[in-house]
Amino acid sequence: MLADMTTLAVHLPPQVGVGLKPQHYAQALEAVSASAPALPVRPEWFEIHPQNYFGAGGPPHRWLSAFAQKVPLSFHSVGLSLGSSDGVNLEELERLAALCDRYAPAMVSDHLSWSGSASNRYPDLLPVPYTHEALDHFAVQVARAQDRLGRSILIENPSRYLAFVGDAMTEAEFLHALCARAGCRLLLDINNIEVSATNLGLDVDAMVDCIDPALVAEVHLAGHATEQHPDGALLIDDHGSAVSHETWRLFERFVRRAGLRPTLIEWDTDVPSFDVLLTEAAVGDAILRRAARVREAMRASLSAVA
Amino acid sequence: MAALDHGPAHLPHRLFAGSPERVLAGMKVHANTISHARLIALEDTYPRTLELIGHDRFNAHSRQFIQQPNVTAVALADIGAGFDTFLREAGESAGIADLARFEWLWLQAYHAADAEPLALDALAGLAPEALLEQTLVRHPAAFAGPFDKRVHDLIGAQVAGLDTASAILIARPGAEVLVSPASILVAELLTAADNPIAIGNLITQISEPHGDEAAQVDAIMRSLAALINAGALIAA
Repeated sequence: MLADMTTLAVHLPPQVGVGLKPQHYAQALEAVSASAPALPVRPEWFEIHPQNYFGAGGPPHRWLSAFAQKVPLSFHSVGLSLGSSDGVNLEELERLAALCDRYAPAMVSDHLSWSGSASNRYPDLLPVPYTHEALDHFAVQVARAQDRLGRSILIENPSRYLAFVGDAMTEAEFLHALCARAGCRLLLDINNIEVSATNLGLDVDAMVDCIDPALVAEVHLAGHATEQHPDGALLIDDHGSAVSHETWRLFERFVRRAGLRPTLIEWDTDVPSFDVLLTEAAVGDAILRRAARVREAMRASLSAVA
Repeated sequence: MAALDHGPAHLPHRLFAGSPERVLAGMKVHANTISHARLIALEDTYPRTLELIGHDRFNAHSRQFIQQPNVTAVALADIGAGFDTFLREAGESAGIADLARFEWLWLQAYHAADAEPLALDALAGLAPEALLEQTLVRHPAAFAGPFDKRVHDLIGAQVAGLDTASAILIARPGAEVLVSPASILVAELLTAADNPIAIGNLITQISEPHGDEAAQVDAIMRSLAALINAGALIAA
């Protein structure tokens, strides 16, 4: 029955989307229906964690089927463990492939991280050293995943709490080289940049500015927690609060330079009401619109000068 | 990995840059994220068990449970498997362990494959011979069995007749998981239909070798009808 459904085989629009949560299913579906009530902003796409839909059937799939017929979906995996020394988790990859076959999502992504070994699984996104050896290994694993999925995927920059002594390149250099080698593109999480820059003492503006916009196919925005330590603040990427002012600022900085991108509001813990989520999305939408106006004005000025 | 599993004493020297305090703080974030995710997954799997025994006791059990190698090796969605047995071995009462078993089965029903349940109407027009040859199998989202009386009482507060029933039937014929009272015979029939089986063979398998054969067949057919009405069987 579900296999016969018609899905929207489209790309993600360069507008705001939100993470789809079970507690919001009914309201979210109404929000994208023809008779949608007045909203702060209409979510133009939704993102899910495919691992939450690895069950064979039941209500989660009934809901997801309904959404797939109305709006584009992005599948943001948290379990491929591409950086594991044992290689990509093949069981997760098979399940992800089956889910992609079923719903034909507009985008599929995972992280620059590892989450386990042959004997252990860690429900976290653990850091990868930025070395040539790690790059070689990671590029091979991304290629394996893409071959199985039959599509290019996005890789998200991580939130970092630790830097390796042996790091031989910057994060951006690693990511750019990865895209060149594996043919993948980037999911730029701007909150993760704020978290990593703060925790590791890096220049946050420089981190945003050195990302090649041509590689960025999706943007993530989320909130973080802050721990105060004697040697400075430690930011924790918990997706449990509103987007910080600094992340909004960096987002605007990026989209003014790079142009509009599909932009997701992530809120995974202490999930607020759908209205609050949409209020956050409306802020993102306003920034995208402002960036579009600024870019248009710049284009017009340049044309006049030329 | 050793540092994640066994603590900061196992952290390799000079692996990470920065002061020891900063490295330790970073490692703690990862260790806490991993532990928290596993504990929350267990809480989400067993909300009634948590409510019954209270957060502190549940948390004490959970922290022990997630240290086991067979638990750390599985995905979060499967992390609750075997928690009922663990609770029993940890000294919890049969009622509490059985409540966890009920919650696990409920979750399996929730996520099980969708399938069109067999309808009584489909059998109504069959000749007796064809009826006996009709093959059935358990619906992927159906489970039945006896539970400790405490489970019957607790779940029975929301389901009429459950407190006095000898077994509980969990089924999801459509969108929602349904819980209903059942008999031991119903549970036995559903277990016997774990693999495809013809109705005639089912009757033979369940009937006792001695006794009133007509009464037994009548009871079995009534129980079979109850299972079909609950959406717990599919045509094989």
